[in-house]
Amino acid sequence: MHKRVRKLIKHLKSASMTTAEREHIREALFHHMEQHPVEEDALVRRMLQGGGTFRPEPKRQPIPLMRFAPALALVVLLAAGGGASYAAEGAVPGDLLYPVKIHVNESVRSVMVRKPEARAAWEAERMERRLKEAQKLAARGELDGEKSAQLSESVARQSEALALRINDIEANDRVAADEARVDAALTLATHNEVLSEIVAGSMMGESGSETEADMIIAAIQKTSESLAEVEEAVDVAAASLPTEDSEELAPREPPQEMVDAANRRYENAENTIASARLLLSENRENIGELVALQASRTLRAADEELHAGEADLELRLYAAATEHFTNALRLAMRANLLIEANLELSVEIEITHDGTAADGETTSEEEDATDNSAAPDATSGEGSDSSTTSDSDGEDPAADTETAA
Amino acid sequence: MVKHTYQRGVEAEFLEAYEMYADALFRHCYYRVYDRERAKEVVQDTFMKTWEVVARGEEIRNFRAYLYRVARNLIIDEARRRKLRTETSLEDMREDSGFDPGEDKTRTLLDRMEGAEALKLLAKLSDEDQEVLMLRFVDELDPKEIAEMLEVTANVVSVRSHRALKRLREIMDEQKDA
Repeated sequence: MHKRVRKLIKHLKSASMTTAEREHIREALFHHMEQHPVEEDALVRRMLQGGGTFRPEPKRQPIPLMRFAPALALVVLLAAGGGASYAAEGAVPGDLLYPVKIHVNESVRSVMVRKPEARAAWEAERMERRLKEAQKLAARGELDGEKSAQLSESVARQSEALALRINDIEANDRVAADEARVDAALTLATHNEVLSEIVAGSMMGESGSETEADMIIAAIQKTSESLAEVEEAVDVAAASLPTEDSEELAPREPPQEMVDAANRRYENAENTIASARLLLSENRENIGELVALQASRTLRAADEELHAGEADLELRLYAAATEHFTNALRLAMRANLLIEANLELSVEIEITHDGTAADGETTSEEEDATDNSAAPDATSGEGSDSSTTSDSDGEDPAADTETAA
Repeated sequence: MVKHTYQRGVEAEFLEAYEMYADALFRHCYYRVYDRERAKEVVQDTFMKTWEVVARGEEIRNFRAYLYRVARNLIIDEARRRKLRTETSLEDMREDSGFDPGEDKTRTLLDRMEGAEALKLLAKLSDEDQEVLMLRFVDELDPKEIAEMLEVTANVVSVRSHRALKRLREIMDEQKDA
């Protein structure tokens, strides 16, 4: 192209808004969006039209609904109108709208999500959804053989899908892939703990349901272990590198990957802690006092780990830093799930120091009786928990019979 | 991976789209109205109006083209209201509003002067030609999108942009020789 024309074009391209200006408009826009919320019908219509992402490519063909939804669900959808796909979001196996949740809502989202990292995040979310459904059922005492088989199979399949997506990321961003694996492993482990506690707390010796729930816990554990193996492998690889703190050796630059991994974990831990804190502060009134106490104690421990990791970063001890951040992340996830479980399932759960459940609804004898709740999977290091004194545990069953609102 | 996205999908996506397209849209508007504040207003109004359409559940087939179309219409309507001829010369505009495309201050004065000079030449093209050049080479939309926006065929767009580029070259060469 003509040289001067090219220069002109370059000059023209330089006109832009400052970040401040862009932010300012964004805020006004956000406000406007709040004042004009999406109409319920609109959302379903969007889904049925095939997603309609805000991309320059021309819209895809609308997804033929029949391909995904069993006839019954379709009838329900049409009959119930726009609200159906919303209602479906809360469905668990056995509910009428559950097929809509899986085959319409989730399918549509799957199609809409394109970028490798986003896909991995979505698959991880799906896995979590299955785990939460199991928890919900367990809390209601409805986790029977069929459902638990269905869900454990889903979890297994989801984690395979997730592993594949993570592999996709690996080619371009090794650190992100490792981070995703660790995240997934911790997620599984934490959910496993919660599920165990629910089972222990609500089953109360009803033998039938117990074995079913055990099945799913076992399945989760297996998946969790295989992911934990990956995590270990990553750690081993990191550890085999010369330690940066041995001053006798000629000081070598730690590989960039190690630095990146530490920073990545740091960011992840920090965000998860912040998110848990927010959740706690927003829901303080709705969860039991004890849970709030537990959660903030756990978060404080997470903070300590975070600070320890920060100190290590200063000293450029990246492997040690990463370990601290991983602990912080684990603790923050636990706090998060604690609060969520209490909110969503109306069951009081405490993940106490030694892993036994203290359910607000049970009597004090239950505390020691539970074996299956102390899930001994590789990634949850109970020892790293903050020192939870046992005094408070002893008090609660007697004093506290509230369930979360 | 316990993330708490309290926003539902659509809103978050829409805001992402804002991040993606706002700057380019601003630039497009700026080179129509030559007024920074006004250009920003148009960008804001465009996104707000588009959101309302989305919130109503109406289908938008090509989002970016839609945005540009809304912006364009806003500008045209206003120009009509103000009874401003859209072919106001660049010098006039510059004097009125203080030429301020917000460019990088680190660019040399010479660069900026050259740029301003070149813009003067651009102004010699017809409105239509200017627009298509901007869309094609600065905003880098492809002919199909531009066609949708301007409501002509892609072929017309290709021909127009090719011709406009040629004219611009000619004008620049003329000036060089003069």
